[in-house]
Amino acid sequence: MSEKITVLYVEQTGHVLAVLTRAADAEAEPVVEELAGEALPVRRFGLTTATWFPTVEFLVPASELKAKNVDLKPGVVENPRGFYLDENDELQPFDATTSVFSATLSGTQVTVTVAGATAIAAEADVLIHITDPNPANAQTQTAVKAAASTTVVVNISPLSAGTHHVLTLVAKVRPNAFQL
Amino acid sequence: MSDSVERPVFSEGQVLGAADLNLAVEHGRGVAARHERYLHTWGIAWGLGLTTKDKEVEVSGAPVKYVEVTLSPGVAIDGRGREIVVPEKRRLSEDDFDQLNVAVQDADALYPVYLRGLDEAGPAPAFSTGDCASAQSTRTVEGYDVSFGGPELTDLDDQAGAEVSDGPDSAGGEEDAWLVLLGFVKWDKAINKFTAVEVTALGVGPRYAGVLADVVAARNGKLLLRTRASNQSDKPALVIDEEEGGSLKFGLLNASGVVTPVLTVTASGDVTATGKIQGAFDPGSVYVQSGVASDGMIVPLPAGVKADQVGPGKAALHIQVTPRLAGATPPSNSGVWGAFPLECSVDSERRVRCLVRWVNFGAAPPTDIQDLPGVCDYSVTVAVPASEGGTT
Repeated sequence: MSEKITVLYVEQTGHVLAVLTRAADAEAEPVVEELAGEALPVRRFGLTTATWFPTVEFLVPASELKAKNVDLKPGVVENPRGFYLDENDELQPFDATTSVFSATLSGTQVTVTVAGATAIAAEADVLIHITDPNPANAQTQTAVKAAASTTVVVNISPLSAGTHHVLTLVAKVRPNAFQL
Repeated sequence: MSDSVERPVFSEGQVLGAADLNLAVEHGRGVAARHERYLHTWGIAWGLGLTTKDKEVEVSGAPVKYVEVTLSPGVAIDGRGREIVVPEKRRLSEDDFDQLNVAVQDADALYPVYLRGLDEAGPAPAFSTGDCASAQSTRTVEGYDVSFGGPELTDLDDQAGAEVSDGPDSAGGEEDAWLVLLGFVKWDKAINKFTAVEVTALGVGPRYAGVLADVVAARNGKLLLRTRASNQSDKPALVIDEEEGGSLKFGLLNASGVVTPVLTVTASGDVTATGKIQGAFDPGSVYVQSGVASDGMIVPLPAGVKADQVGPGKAALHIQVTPRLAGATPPSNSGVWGAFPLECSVDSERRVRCLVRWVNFGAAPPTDIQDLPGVCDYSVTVAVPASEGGTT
């Protein structure tokens, strides 16, 4: 196995969504569109069976992603979604005690709540991706969670009636998915 | 219809009229214009750049920046084969621009700056003899004019051209003179000043004179093509050389004007390159890539292979994926989990679809079953047909 690994991660928050190794030409500059296409399908997301939706597939647009060759860390190949890329472009595992606890929809706002003491101590970029029965209304929205708060309100565009699922990514916090 | 070309013929004892002498001059002008028109492409031959000088003006007590724009000396050939000479630098006139009334409200609008050739009568002779008519000018100044256009670009190739035998003068006179683009300026309507110069706008920029030729031949066995008028080190050049049986060499020039080749093609077809050759395959060659990919990722093609080079009638693509269960992370730390491959394939996009079924055997019968994304080992092989070469 090569010493380097190519990670496909969310530019805004650093969450790794997929990984790749190459035996030959391992350090060739990766191109997001060549690895993800127009969008990366992300499925079977959720921390527990309670938030695990077998039929849901989030399509994260390539424009939200970046690709980078980084030093390999133990465990990242087997569990890419358990890691994020920090400010020094180093892979870090998520703290097991912190995660996105809930997400609730009210009108054109989604309230994201983070559980765990460590993650709420600092400001954090937040990115959510929401599905919609009308694919044209599926959307990605961003916000910044204040240091002193465990919740952040993310403004969204109007959704169609029906069931929605949201992929919630808060920087340095284990991600989660919910049905709204 | 184009007229036949005439030249004057003189004989002993002939009384020469002004028309005879003018025809001699016009014949020469016509020959030169037809040469420029049919053996060259029109455009700037040398110089004629637009330069700026930063300035400030006070408006209501506050400084406002603008630029003075100057046209440098140079030579252009217009589409009728006329030579336009700007003998010395000239500052572009804000008054001329203002009077053309082409400015719009948009401060970022770019206005084209045009050069055109313009004949003007020279000054009358200071002293002359003969009848009254002889006091008229005996010189024509082959001058020029700088003008401006509106922000909408026009196709300068659509200008009125010349008949085959015509000389450089336009039939429509001054109004019909050929325009040569020099660049673009920005304008501040509030202070009536230029604020910037741009070389191009919407991908359109000055055109430079070129050569029309079906044959370019060297005198003595070596032809050099380079990107600068004079030899400059580290600029690219191409050499066709008869030495050593004939070769084509591409590379950078050194200070002596010699190309250091990075690509050489001999007359016998041997190719030598110091860098990578991409975009074509060797017949019968095989390219391989392998590694690990997680669910959703598109597996990469081997280095040097592009997507449009594989497929029916081209190089054959073989992809094999195997679920990678060793070391996989179970859904939770509690329980006794077993992993089973549920799905492992690639679609037509080469995208990995890999799912692992996790079963918790901690309880009997097991009811906690989760299907989660997994990773796979992949190998990609691109095989180039031996017979057809597989080139694209």
